[in-house]
Amino acid sequence: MDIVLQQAANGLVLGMSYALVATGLTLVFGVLRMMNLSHGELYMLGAYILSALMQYLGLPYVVGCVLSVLLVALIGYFFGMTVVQPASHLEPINAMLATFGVSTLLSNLVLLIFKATPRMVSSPFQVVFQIGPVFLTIQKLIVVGMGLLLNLGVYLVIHHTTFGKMIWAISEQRTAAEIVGIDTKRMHNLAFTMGAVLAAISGVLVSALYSLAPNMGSGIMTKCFAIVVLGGLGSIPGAIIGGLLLGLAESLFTIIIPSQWTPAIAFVLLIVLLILKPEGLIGKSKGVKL
Amino acid sequence: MPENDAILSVEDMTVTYREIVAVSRLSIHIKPKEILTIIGANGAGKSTTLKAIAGLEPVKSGKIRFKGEDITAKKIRERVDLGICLVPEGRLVFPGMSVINNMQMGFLRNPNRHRFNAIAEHVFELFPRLAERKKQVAGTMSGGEQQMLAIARGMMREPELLLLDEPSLGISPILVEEIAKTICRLRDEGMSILLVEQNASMALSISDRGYVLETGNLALSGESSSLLNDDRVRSAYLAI
Amino acid sequence: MKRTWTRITIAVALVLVVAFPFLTNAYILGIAQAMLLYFIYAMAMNLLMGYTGIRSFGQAGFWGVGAYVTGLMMNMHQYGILSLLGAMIIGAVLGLAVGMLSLRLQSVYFFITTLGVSEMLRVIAINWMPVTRGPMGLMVQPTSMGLFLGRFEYQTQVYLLSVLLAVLCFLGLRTLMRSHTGKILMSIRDSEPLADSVGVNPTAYKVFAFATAGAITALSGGLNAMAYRIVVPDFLSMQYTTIGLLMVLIGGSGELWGPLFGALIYVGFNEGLRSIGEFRLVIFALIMILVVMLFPKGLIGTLKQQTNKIKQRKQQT
Repeated sequence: MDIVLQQAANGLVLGMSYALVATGLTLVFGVLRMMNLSHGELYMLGAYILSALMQYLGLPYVVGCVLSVLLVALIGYFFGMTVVQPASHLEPINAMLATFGVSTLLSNLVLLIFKATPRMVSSPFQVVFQIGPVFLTIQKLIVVGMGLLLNLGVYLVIHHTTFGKMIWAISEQRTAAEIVGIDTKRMHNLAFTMGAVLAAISGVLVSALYSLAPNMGSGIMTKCFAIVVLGGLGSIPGAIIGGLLLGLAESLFTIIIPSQWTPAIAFVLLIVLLILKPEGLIGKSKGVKL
Repeated sequence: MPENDAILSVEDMTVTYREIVAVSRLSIHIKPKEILTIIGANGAGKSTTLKAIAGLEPVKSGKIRFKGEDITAKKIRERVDLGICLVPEGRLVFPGMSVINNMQMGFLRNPNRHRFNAIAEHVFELFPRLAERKKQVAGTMSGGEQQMLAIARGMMREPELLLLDEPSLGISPILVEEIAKTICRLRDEGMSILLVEQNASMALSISDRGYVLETGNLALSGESSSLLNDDRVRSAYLAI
Repeated sequence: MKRTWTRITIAVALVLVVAFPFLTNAYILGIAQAMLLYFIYAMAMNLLMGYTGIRSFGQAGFWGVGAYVTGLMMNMHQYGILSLLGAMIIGAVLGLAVGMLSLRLQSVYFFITTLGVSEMLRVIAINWMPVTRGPMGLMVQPTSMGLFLGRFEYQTQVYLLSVLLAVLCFLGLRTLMRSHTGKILMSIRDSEPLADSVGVNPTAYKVFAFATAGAITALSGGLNAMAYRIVVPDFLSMQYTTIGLLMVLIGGSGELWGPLFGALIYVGFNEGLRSIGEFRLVIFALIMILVVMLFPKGLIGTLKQQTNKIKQRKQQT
């Protein structure tokens, strides 16, 4: 029983990190109506830039986190403007290939610069403590806390601020959004940057939990696909719940099956779900429920 | 021919859609504080004309002037800022957002930020059904209610020229009458209105002047009352 | 007159292609080999995407599975040609299964499913050590190809078999696309609701296209296993799906000769950039982004557009 609780706790932490990235992905999809295949790389860059800042500039963890997120936001904004935004007007396949190009570009650049040897980041929050039978670190609590805060924050912004409602409106009915005078292009870029920030924060927080590898971007991407479909394309609550569920499932399953098989869980879930309920758990098939 | 007292004039406008000419060398004008209607069969080019005026469709050749200013190259947002608002075909409300939220979206480009409540009050007075449903999610409302919401959203910016694209489509006759009366009230309150309609009898009965389009060309024009009595109009569009 | 010249050119080209192994060294032959098997892959992609309009992001799944099946069968001392047949059969079965399950879904969900299936296969390939030898890769034992090719060197055998298969595929596809079925596929690509309304069952045809493309893609993967004698889980990754997509996009989606150009250009670029070493993938990614964004109709498509425009202008003057 103890091990189940421990794994459940780990699963929530893992799931929250997934949820952050998935929320960013689904937000971008809701607004731009396209899958940004380079989204995972923003998560990876968050972790790697933090690692580099700490290692080569000697910056402390927290400062490194903030700086890294800012830099990734800039990088995300740059690629959003130069590639993703223009590509959203192309046919979906071309758009996805273009973003996949960005993904390959970024992951291979990191591979060249940092090589594939796993890296670690150490944060000052790795003190272990115990709640009942479960061992936790403050870092893990921060992941869950930040995750909840951010996801909630995004949800509140979208539903209760004018700026957020504009993004919401675009994702609901783009033509009508244009008609009322919303600058959809600018909003796209902003939504994209928001997504980048979310992914970067996840990367930065998670880098102290697991070792870094240049392919961690594509690793999380494939899971986020499953999550976003599970929760419904364009649905933020769906991304959060889907992420948490997947994290829980993966962690709990390691009790019975060897951990190298865990990536398959996402797909088994996905395939089963798509057979049973093609519109996803929460979201509607076409409409967006940001 | 451009009329000097027109609030909007379309001069020799051609609009193409994928190599097909939808509107051919059309010249029309709208006078201030009037309801102008454009009627015609499906595919006659009425909606295309409206969309071109709104800025949704690019113009191949010709000009559009609003209060004398050439707006042909202006983006939708710029036209909204000048005071031209579109109530689009199919209503296009934001389905997951509430009535109030939809109206807030319509209010975005209104320069007088303090006027939201005043305008909303006026809107609710004109459309009591919307007042009853302030928090209701737009997608759950009936077609007629959505149409009212779409008009309300268009009004939030207090436009000088309101463009209505087939508001009666798919709506019960009772609601069509209600909407028609409200359109007249808006005109009486000082708005200029361009009404594109399939329902020729409703359109001609509430409008001051009308144009009849046939396959992208101007076929007839005149006072609505005369058009109502015109034999060609009666046989082709009024099913009389 | 033009037709005769075209036929002569093609005949001469074919003779050269067949004689190639006896004219050059092993390295250049390897490049030609790559062009052939990627040509086959591109043809499969073209059938799927260019003619039927199905956007699958998981073709690498078929490619890798074909490679593994062929490799495994050859290690069991089966004839080369049988190993390839095995790959094709498995590819078709996989295509049927996945196709029937997922082609009825909306396009975005379908795309994610195909991606998911290929990724899942990749995870299996990495972890199923006893069979696939995991990330280290599966070494393939050379066997005879069958078809009386036994008297040639191994590399030549594989090459000649590839030529034969590529030509067969090409002719087969050409026949298919000119047939009634082919026209139905294209009508599904152009407007599925329309096809549906005239009584065609779009899903059935799509599954057919998907399974056929799956079989041919598996064939390509199998040839790859044969030629280079190593199979790794990476063959099932998005990287290899992208190669297929790119070849079709560059060469021209829905064009008969598109796959050939796409394969030539891809292999050519790959070889040309080999000297840059690891930086190659970065450059490749950059080129991919630029090509996809600047030539959305593919190189052939854009060329066609431009020549049409020039023709129109000539007609007007």
